[in-house]
Amino acid sequence: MNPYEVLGIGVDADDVSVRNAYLDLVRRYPPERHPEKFKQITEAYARLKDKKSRLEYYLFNRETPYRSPFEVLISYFSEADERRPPNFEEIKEYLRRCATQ
Amino acid sequence: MQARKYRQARDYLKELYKRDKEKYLPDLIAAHEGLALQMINEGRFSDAKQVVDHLTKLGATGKKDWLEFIVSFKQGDFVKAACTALRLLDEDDNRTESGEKLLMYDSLVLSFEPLDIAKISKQSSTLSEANQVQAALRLVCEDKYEEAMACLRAISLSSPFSHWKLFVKGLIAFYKMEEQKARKAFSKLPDQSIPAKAAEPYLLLLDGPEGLKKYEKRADVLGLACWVADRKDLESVLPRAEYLWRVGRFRDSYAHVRRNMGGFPSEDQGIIQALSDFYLNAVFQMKERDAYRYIDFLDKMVARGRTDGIEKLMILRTIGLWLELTGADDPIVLSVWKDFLRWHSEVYGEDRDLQALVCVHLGDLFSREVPGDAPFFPLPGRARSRRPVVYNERLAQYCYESCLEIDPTNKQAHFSLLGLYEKTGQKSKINKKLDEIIELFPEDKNTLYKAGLRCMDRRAFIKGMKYLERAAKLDLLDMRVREAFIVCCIKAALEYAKRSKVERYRALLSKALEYGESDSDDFNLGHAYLYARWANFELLNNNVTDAEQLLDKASELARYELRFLYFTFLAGRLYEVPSKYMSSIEKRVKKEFSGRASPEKAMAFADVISYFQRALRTIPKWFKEEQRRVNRYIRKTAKGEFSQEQARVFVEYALQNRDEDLAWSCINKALEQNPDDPYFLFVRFQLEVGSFYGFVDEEELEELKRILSLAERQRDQELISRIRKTIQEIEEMACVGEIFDNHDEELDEEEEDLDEAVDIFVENLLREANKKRPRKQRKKRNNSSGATQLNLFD
Repeated sequence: MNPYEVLGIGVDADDVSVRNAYLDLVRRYPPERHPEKFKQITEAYARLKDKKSRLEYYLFNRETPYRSPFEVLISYFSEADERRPPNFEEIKEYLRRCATQ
Repeated sequence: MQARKYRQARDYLKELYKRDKEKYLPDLIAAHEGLALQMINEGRFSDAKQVVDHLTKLGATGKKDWLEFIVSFKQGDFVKAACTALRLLDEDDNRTESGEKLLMYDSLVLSFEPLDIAKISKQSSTLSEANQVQAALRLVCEDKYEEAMACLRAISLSSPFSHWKLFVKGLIAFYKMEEQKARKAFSKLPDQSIPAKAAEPYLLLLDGPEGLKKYEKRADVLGLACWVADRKDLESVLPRAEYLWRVGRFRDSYAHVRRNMGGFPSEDQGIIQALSDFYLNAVFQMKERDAYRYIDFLDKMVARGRTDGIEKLMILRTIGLWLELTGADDPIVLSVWKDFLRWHSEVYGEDRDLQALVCVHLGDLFSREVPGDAPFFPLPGRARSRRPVVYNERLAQYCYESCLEIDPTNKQAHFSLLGLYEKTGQKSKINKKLDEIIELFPEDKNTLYKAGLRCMDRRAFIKGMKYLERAAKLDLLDMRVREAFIVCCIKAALEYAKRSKVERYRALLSKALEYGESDSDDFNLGHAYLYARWANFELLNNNVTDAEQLLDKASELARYELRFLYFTFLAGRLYEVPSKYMSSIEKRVKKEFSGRASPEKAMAFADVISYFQRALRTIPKWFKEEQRRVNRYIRKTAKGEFSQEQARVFVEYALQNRDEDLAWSCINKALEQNPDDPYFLFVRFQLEVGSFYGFVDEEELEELKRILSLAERQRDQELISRIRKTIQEIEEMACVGEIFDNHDEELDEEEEDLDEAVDIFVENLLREANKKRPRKQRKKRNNSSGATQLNLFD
């Protein structure tokens, strides 16, 4: 996943906001309880910690963790911190669509 | 009718019905029913509705109601479907199949509205359960999960709505991020039921890329998954883009997304940015032919002026990076990046940091080392140039200098340019650049350290000491810098000692002691060994009393007497101390070598002689004889008993001295004692496989991974990193193999035959070379580690 998304910051974030976001996340996801997430956060921080790293990522990153366009959506969805259910009208419409398809 | 040609049957029966209504009515109704069912199966619901209306006119009952229900249901008129379903359920005489009944119950939930018929229906309890499901769904949508569960409590396992209960439970777990629970609930739903269909997109999202494999051909599920993921805007784009990508139509997939997704491509945050990143970085994962076509497609879009703004910028970046990988002509790579920088300035305004970074990147690209033009079959005895060949020195220099024009204090560019001068051996430029760097960054430890090492190379020891002392003061904990300073002091002191400038070398050695460590066993940093050197310098100047006092002091500090004795002896000989002062120590050393071999002594000898081997640039004749003496001693020791730790020292020593027999004998003995010792298993692997990893098969790779896990259990960090590096190199070689395999597919048979013959020939050549390769590699590694250790005796 894009390191900006991992840290939950905008592409225009400066050093201080990157560090603050990193520290917040590390507090939320300590390595002993969330080893994978912690690793992901640390890697994201290493890529964005200063302006030079951010520029290097912007210019020379050749990686993509996805194999197809739909995996992007799946990844975004699974990485989200919370899920909000749709409103009642929407779920009605959804179920009816499932029934008629 | 038997041939299921209901339309024709209906037309004939209509004629017959006109002649004898009573006789032909049942058949006419049956033909209508068959036709309606056929139309429903074909998805022609409005046609089916007309047929059902005819059935009503004919006064048909029974199956007609079911057909009416299914038409209403499929047309999305769930209120009407639910009313019909209630009527059918009221009249149910057990003729209805269970699947049909399930659909009728589903229609009661899906109606979501009060039904007029409800008041007179016999299905009050059924209706009440359907209402409970609806209420639970509403509560889920309001984030009231506990209340929703409470609503479902009245629905029992035997209820016709039990699958809806399961679905709602799955929904609750899904939105509460309880993925296992959600997956369990959704996967239990009966096939073909509406909740099972509705659960498919949820399961797809829960199962991630694995789930995608199952549903990748189901555009309907992919579309609904966009809906569930709260990205309704992607519903009309992503399923088709996915399909095109899966079938290898990468360019069409990009074009489809570009055409239908507003804001694509984007560099801002969010899913569109992630998709943009995917579409522009995926080329680096494609097979060569696909990648070439994809790049060509992107390039044409730019060339034809079909892109602007961010898209052009992103495409230029991708093309630049791709050209670098494929070894395109340097001016082309340079021009693409220049275009990128120009366009970046137009889109975002001037960014000097970014420009400088691109210049340094290109400088690094052009200054990379490449193999020299060695003949395919090197002639024996023909020396190769030691200096690396730089790929494109002129362009590399141009790029670094361009960077310094943009940002004159760009540290990375200065250092890279310095590195380039070092690679190309331009000594005067190196010195000039170092002076310039020190002026610009007087407080930069690494600059000072590098400058100090350069001065040492040039034998400008006093200047080197100045830089290194400044560097050491900036970070007293950096042992690398302190060691370099001490080495510089010793080298300078040796020069003075040889010229009998007693006060000078004494002052320098006192300085070295300040940066050394009193209790260290390190041959450079330890005070014992510094005093031993000092004593030798005094002997060089015939100051015997001072030398004896210093040796006494050194001897008190040395923890391992034999190690200290042998070091002092070898150092004395290398510093060319007059033999009259060496005879006594020589006798003591000789005595230590005689008698029964002991592993402890062998370790000390190996340790000391290895240090001198690393530190010497040229090995004197007498030292070779000394090496043979130690080899003989260690071989004698290896015949007896020794510990694993001692075996490790002997093996390292044997490898350093290219003595594979000694290495094997120690490895075998150590593995007899502990067959799972990761160090010896790894060294055995290296000796067996050699350093040409192209021949490592899967079984051997698995064995290496097992050794890694053993090392991890022992937490031997150095060994772990060595094994990991080896695994990485083997895997990289395997990737290269795959690339060749892919090329092979494209060759015709004739070329394959020729290739096979060449392969066998080259393989044999490499196998021969491979037998000797580990030695070469080890020698190289040791030499490089020796570089920091210092060439103290030349």
